[in-house]
Amino acid sequence: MGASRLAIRLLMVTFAAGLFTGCGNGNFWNWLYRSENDLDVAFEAGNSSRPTAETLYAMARILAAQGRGAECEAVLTRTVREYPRFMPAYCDLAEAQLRSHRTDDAIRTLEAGLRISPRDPILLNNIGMCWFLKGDYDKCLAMFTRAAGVVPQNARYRANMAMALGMQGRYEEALSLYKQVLPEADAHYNLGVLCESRGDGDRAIEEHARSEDLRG
Amino acid sequence: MKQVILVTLIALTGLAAGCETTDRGVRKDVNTQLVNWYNDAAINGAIVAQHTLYPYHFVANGAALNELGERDVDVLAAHYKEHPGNLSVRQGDVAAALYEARVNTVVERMVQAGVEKERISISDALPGGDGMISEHVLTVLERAQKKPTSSLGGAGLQTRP
Repeated sequence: MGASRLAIRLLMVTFAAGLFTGCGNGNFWNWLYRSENDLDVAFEAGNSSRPTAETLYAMARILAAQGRGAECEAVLTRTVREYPRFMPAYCDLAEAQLRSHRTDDAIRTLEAGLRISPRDPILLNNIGMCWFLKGDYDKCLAMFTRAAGVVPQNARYRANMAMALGMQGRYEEALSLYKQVLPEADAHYNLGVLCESRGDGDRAIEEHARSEDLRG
Repeated sequence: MKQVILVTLIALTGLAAGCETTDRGVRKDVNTQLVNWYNDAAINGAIVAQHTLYPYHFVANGAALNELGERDVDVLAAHYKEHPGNLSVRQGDVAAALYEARVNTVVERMVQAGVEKERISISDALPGGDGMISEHVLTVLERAQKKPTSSLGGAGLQTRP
């Protein structure tokens, strides 16, 4: 009786440990039966190998969260140099450059990523955002259109296209795109905001009024 | 007996938790696919309701459709195969010759997709459902059939940074 209770308790502890370590690919059992020597070998191997793209990227994110922008940028620059196919690093590096008001550098970074992965919609969209910040709405629209072409079901890319078109005064086209991805009242409201930023007060009032009507 | 049930419960929980890391990625993919599918259906519905093509669907200063334009025309073509009717192609501020070339491009793609040319009517009108307001209806299809397709310089070019 005592032996069976002990066995049951042992089982409970084992499965509880499984909860914490995960038993998906047998990791838990490997972990349970690793020898001291195995651990030393693994530690040495990890110590002498260069960091992976994921490790560098995680480190950069920690640095960014700590507000250590320059160090974060240095780590991301290293990530891009050592792992040019690791796309998330391009976006984060460009973001860091944008934070320090270096829009041209951000565009160059994203374009470098685009040379590796020419149809990456996130890179395309982000370059579009950079051109938007520079006030070049033609280039911005071209980039958003390419992003929307790659992922036509992505509402954000279409809404960004609408924003670029609205800023060019192409209201009808902007409204049609907004209506594809938003309720009609929101579409008119957004267009009203764009009209305001262009200094088109009359049209902005008209669009906001239309939006209010539609909301009832 | 109670202990056996308890052990079984813990074992099942352990299995579920242990497998979570493996399943999380799959579940995320499935969720992404579902959201895309819903978005796709909603956007396709809006494209059909508007049944209008704009200058943004074409390569800048060219008659060729861009990638998004090709995709949206394909959505319309799938609808027009079963439900023919009016299609609006907005001229915007492009010259008449370029506009006509754009209409030809759209017609060609529709025909390639299996839409009967005679059953669609193309005009330059504001988008909308029934009761579409017509600005200056052009009905260029007949003209397009009579004239050869004009090849325009600049087709295929796209503004790049």
